[in-house]
Amino acid sequence: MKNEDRPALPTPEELAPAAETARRLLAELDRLLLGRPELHRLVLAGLLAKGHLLLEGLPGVGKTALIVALSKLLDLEFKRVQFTPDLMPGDILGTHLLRESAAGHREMAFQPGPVFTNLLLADEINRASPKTQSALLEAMQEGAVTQLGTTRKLPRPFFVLASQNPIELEGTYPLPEAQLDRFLFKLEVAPAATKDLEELVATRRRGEPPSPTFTLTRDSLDALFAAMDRIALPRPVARYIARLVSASHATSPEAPAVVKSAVAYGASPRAAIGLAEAARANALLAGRPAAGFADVRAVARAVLAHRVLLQPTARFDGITTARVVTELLSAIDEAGAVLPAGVALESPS
Amino acid sequence: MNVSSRLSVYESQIDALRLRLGLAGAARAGLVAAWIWGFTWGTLLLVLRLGGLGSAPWLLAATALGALAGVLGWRAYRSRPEALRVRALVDAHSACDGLLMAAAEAPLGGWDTRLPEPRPLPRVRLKDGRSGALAALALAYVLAATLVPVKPLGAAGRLDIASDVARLAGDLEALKEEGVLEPEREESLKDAVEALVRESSGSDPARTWEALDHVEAGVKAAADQAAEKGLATATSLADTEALASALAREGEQLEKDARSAAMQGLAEKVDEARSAAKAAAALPADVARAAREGSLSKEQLESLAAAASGAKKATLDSLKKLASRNLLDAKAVRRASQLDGAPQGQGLASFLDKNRNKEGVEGFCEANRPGKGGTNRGRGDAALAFDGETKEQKERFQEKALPGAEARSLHDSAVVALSTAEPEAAKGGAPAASTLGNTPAAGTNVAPRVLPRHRETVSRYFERTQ
Repeated sequence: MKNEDRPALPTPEELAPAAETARRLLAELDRLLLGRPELHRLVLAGLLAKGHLLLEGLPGVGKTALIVALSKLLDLEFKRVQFTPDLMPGDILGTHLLRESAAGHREMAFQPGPVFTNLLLADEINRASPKTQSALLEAMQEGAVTQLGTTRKLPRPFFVLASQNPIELEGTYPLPEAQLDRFLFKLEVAPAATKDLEELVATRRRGEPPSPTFTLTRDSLDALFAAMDRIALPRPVARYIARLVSASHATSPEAPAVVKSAVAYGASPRAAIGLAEAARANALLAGRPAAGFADVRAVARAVLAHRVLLQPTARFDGITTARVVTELLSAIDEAGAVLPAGVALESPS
Repeated sequence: MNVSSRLSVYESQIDALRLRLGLAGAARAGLVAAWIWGFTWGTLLLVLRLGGLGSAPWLLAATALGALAGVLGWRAYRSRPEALRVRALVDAHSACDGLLMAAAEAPLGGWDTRLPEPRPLPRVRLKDGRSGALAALALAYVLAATLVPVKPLGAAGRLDIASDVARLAGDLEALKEEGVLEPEREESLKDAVEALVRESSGSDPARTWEALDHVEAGVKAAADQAAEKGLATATSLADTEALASALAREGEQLEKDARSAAMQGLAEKVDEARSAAKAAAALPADVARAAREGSLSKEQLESLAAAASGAKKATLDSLKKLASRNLLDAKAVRRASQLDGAPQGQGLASFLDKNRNKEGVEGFCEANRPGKGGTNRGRGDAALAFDGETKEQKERFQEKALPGAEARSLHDSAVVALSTAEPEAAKGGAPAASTLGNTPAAGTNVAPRVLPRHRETVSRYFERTQ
């Protein structure tokens, strides 16, 4: 296909409203929640990429507050489920109840669960049993729920924003790999900085955030998603993403040493898809019509870290998935230009 | 820079960087081609030179180098990074955030004005020390191979007999010039020399040396024959010269019989010389006839003497040439040098007066040969003949007993050993010494003299043995 035949990039004028909306949304989120602007940016990027997010952090660091604040900014239906060990799948997905109709007949009627919403907050998701955690698999991947042979579509858009405590804590069940893979991002929520804590204590009674001054309408959100679809992902960037994901497998010839020694399973193709979408979202947040290598690098850790499974022995060597991703990013050449043997490029002094 | 032209600048940069990468790859391929060619050609050159081929096909080699470098260089240039990857390189280098890459896939629209200012391209460096070192090594190898002397591989196994062959060829030529060798003989010897050159082998040097000795012996035998013949001719000519000059000088004083015998001897000598060698052909044939008739005049005799002298000189010169090539042994050389002089040619009359027979003429000739004393100063060189009874054999010598060995005084002697053997006189002179040197031999009564300064030593010797 010739260059002229391809769909043109959105013009600056076309992209400006969406970029402005995204920036305003991000600014409002930063205003509601003190500190951690990079986390807010990633959360927004995840939403623009239509991905599910998993926030991990110690209790009280603001995971739920972040999600609640986000729900307030979006004009979307929001429901919250507190995951507990005795939570059953039906408690999330819905259940069939035996009811008596007006005509006096008894029939099984479906009572939708909290998953039938746009924005589902799965609080402390790793406190539920693996069986209950897995109940979300179809909903997260297909956007539908199937019970007693009947598949029911979930409202669009559908996001699962989950929070979890570190698995070392008591009473937690590690999320299954298949479940983890369905989360676009797993974001570490670090404790707030002292400066932000001071601001929080000084300006907010009981830590309650101020009311939002801006709410993103559904139309605006659709416009954002439409703009996302027009963000270009150049072929070299796609190749970079593919090489990154491939190199996360120990069997890859491009895999760095740490991957070969410490990684049991690398990232899935779903990770590559998520990485591409997240890079696009990052470009949109920056107001650019095409994703670049920097966009990939910006979201790579959030996308890949929870999808790379380490060898059991790697833990004893102090190797983390974050370090593996860092090594991957430094080992894989962005452009993938294989220079002739014996030829090197030197930056001009 | 006009913002609208930035994209074209970037496009130029992409093309330029791709070209540079291709050229760098081709240059590196040239280095690889150089060391491959160098080691291959160097080895081939070594084989050629050791195989005895000094003229190597350099033009072909240079063509091969060019072709190899061309093929490898073209392949390297063709395998330069594809444009899209170079574009990605430039995009990342200039922080275009994907815009430059996107421009390859879709029209940029208004975004081309938002491209950042192009940065200078990264430098393309050829960093292949290994290929460079190998290329240098290969070229040094080629250079070293050119310095290897051209020498057949089998040369180490061949025997160097060039000097001997040259000497033999010179000898043959000398023999040919002097007319010593017959053409058939000369041809056979030349063939033998050539076969020797062809078949000389260091693996069996003894055989070569034996063959060389055999040929050399053949040449030497021919030279010896020539020397004998030449010396005989020169002797005849010397005799002719001596006899002719003597007859010219003293012919009138001879009696008729003696003169006739001398003339007869002269005629025989002339015939002998004429038949012996070509050099003697200068002697007039009618002279021998006139000599038999005894009608040679003094002038004719002088002329004959001069002709004989000239012919002898020519014969000796020929022998000298052979001698200069060491083809004559010392005896022949000495004889030739003896003959190289004027004969005495004196005392013919008195000699023939005493020796009228044929042997008398022969004896005169022999005595008057150059280097001899002549007949007038005695025949010191005359051959010894034991055919006659000498005067001394008839005489009886007076017997005279020689005085016996004087008994030595015993006052300064000491008895150092006793013998139980019967004393007896020594027979035929002094007794044989024992292994001790000065101790008397067993069975003798002669006590050796022991000097005083040796007594103690001698005593200790016997004390120890006893």
